[in-house]
Amino acid sequence: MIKCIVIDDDKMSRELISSYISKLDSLDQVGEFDNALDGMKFIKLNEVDVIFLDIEMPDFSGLDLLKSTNELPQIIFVTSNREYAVEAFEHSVCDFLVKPVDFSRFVKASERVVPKQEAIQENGTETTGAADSTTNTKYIFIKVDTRFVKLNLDDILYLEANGDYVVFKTANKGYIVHTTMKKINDKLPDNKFIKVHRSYIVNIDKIVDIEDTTLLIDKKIIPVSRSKKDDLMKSLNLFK
Amino acid sequence: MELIFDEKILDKLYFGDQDLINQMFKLFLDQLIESKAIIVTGYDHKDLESLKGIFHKMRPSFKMVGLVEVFDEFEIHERKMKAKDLPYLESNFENIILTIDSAYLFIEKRLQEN
Repeated sequence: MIKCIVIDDDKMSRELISSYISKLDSLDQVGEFDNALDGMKFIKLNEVDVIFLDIEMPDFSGLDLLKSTNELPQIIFVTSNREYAVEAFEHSVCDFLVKPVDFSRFVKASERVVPKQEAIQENGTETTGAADSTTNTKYIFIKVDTRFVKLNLDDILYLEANGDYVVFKTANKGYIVHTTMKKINDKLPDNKFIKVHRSYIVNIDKIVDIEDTTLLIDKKIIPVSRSKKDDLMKSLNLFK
Repeated sequence: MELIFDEKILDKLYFGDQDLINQMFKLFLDQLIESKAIIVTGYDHKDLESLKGIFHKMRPSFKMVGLVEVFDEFEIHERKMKAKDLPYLESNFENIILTIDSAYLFIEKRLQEN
């Protein structure tokens, strides 16, 4: 069950969202607040997966709440003004709903929420349940724009750093995630992935051949740092 | 004052759940009294910031009780307050109060009929 709370200074809006939550078996409402500060206190003491959050509230707005801490659950904004959409999505919210929200749109938004234990967030604060360097889990969730996308580890060929972003490359697609190689490297299983260059992490099973300072994966030549070469060779099932 | 009532929006929001509709109507009436008081005070003090805030808060509630045209009307009021358009407020204040009173009577009647 996805644990959620509603923060909105308007009682009618809270009532409507609460009635929608009660219709969905996947959602469990654990709190309702008419201001962001009370909501924030609750989040610090309780497990919450998602907040249905109003933006314009007196004294402390939904955006103020987002800016005040990095340790927040997933957010679905519920607001009267579309003009906040751009700013809202800059904060990587799950979705943005315009009041009054109808049920079908609400369902779509709630489907974008990933239960806390399955999510790897881009800030790297959530590590449980999904792949990490010590478990044998078979997938990760990556945050792409506003959605969490499930990726099987076996489908990932390699990861390539590009500025503030990392591209998860599969045979068919590249997923761009706003994160760092270090954060990602800490989450991936050591026995399956290895960092071969400051800009590349590769899936060991996908390596086709290795030659001096490069390796080949799916027709892509990837550089191998001299400092990483020994670790790479140790990780392989070598027959000399 | 004649208000246009959109029954379809209620079906879309509440799926014909009459208890929920009645609950929302009651909440609307309670909030409308409080909001009207804030508007009157805001107008007396020429407090456009507080008026912008209350118009913003009230706006979706009109749609939630089927008064779609009033919802659109309040969007204009909110925009004008955001632009600090005091002459607009002065020339429209009586109409705003009239609309609020009409909305109250209309929803109160609907609630009694339900």
